[in-house]
Amino acid sequence: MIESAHTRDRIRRVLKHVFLIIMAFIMIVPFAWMILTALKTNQEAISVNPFYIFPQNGWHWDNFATVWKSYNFIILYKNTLLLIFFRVVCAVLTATMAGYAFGRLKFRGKSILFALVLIQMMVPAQIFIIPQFLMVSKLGMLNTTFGLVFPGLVTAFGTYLLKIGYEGLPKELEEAAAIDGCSVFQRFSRILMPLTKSSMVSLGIFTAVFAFKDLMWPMIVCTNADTTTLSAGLAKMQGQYGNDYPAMMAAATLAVVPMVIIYVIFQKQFVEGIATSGGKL
Amino acid sequence: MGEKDRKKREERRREELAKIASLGKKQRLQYIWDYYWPWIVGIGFALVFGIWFIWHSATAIRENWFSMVFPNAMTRVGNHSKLWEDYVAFTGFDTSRKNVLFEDELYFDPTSSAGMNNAYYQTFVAMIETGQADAVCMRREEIEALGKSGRLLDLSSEPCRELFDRYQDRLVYSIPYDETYSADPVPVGVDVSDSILMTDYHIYENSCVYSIGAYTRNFDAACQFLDWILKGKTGPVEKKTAGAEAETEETD
Repeated sequence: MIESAHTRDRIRRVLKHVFLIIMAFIMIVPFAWMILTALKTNQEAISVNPFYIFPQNGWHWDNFATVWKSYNFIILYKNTLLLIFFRVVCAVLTATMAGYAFGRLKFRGKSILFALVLIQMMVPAQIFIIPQFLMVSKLGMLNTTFGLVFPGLVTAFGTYLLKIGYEGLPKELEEAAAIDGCSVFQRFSRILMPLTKSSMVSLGIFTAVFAFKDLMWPMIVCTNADTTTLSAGLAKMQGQYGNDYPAMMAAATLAVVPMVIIYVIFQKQFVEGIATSGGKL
Repeated sequence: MGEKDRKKREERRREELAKIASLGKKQRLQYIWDYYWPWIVGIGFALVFGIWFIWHSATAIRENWFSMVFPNAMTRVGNHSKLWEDYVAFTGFDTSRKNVLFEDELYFDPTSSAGMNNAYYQTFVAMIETGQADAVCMRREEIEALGKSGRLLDLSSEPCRELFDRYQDRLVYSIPYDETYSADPVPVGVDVSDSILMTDYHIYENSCVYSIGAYTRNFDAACQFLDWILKGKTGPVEKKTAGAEAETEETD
């Protein structure tokens, strides 16, 4: 009896692992395909023979050199990292202050103002593109880092996330700080803000990933190759190297490098952040 | 309550100043940095950003002499390409005062809804609707499809009367989606298949049509560009492709 229970348990465990291996394989295949295609000749890349998984005529590392020379990747990396850095800093800074105000302070018109913030989350982002473009254009900020960062200066989702975070903190903490003579700003910055670190990290991760993936805004606002980002640069390569799949894949592989590095460094925070917000990247 | 708070703050400020004054020079700097670094960093950043923002806003070139989009172009005709250089040389526009923008890195197919479901098309729409793009060149069937949206200037409208008369043998028509505007075909482009865009710069194969954006801010420059690429041709399009077909038939 015990023997059969053990066997059943083992079979269940094996099946579970087989399922997980298959799922992991499905997730990895596109990534592996991208890297392997980047190392093939164009002839091999467009070959429909499914057994040509690996390059048959040598590993063509020169594909990387070709796209590296054609597009200034240093500039693209720099612009993308600046975009991510400023968007994360601005989004976290403004959302944490707005979240505190909406979550803890009492002021007239609070509900209406918060409803306005929520409305922003309910309409598609594309609606804001034209007015935002006109604003950036009138300010003379086209083809600048500020122009790129502009739509991410404030975030409705972040404000909502941080508001929830502040509301979850016990009132007694703030009351105790007030009795000890802390001003509103001191209560916010010294007592409550450090306690919402996990929400801030979640917001930072979301903002970084969305900034990295943002395609349309950099394409509109940065027509100059020196000011554009990796995503927009890659989209433009798609047109230029439309038929040269190895070059395209080499460019795509180079483009994901910063995100892979960021993920490796902040792996723990990524997982915690997603768990905290219950979000899906 | 407010008065009490103000007094308390004033008292605290005086205490803090007295405390800082009582410290030695090195200790004083250390104390200020330890307790006030977020303020110092914040104010420093705000100052640098503010100066840069004012300077950039004051010196940036906001306006365009002319802005043109070449979606699905087969050769490079973007900024500082040969076409761009030749056009700027022809017009004599001072590009240090205003921009001349040629965008050739957009790829979409307006003839199918699937072909427009991408960021390139959305970028194009944003450029046309904000007036950032004054004109567009595409293949005939693409302009015919694009013209339905109402984003291309109706060449039979009053400001285009001269253009309409001059190029009436070359007009390309499109029936707008908006039936209240017109249920009949509306002229939305000028066929420039025999222009220098095709003969000298080889931007497209088979056909090329020039259209002006409905929200253009540089209508005169858009007309001037059309005249320049056609080099005075006003009659029907010289059917180069028809000749090629005849040759092919003879060969067969």
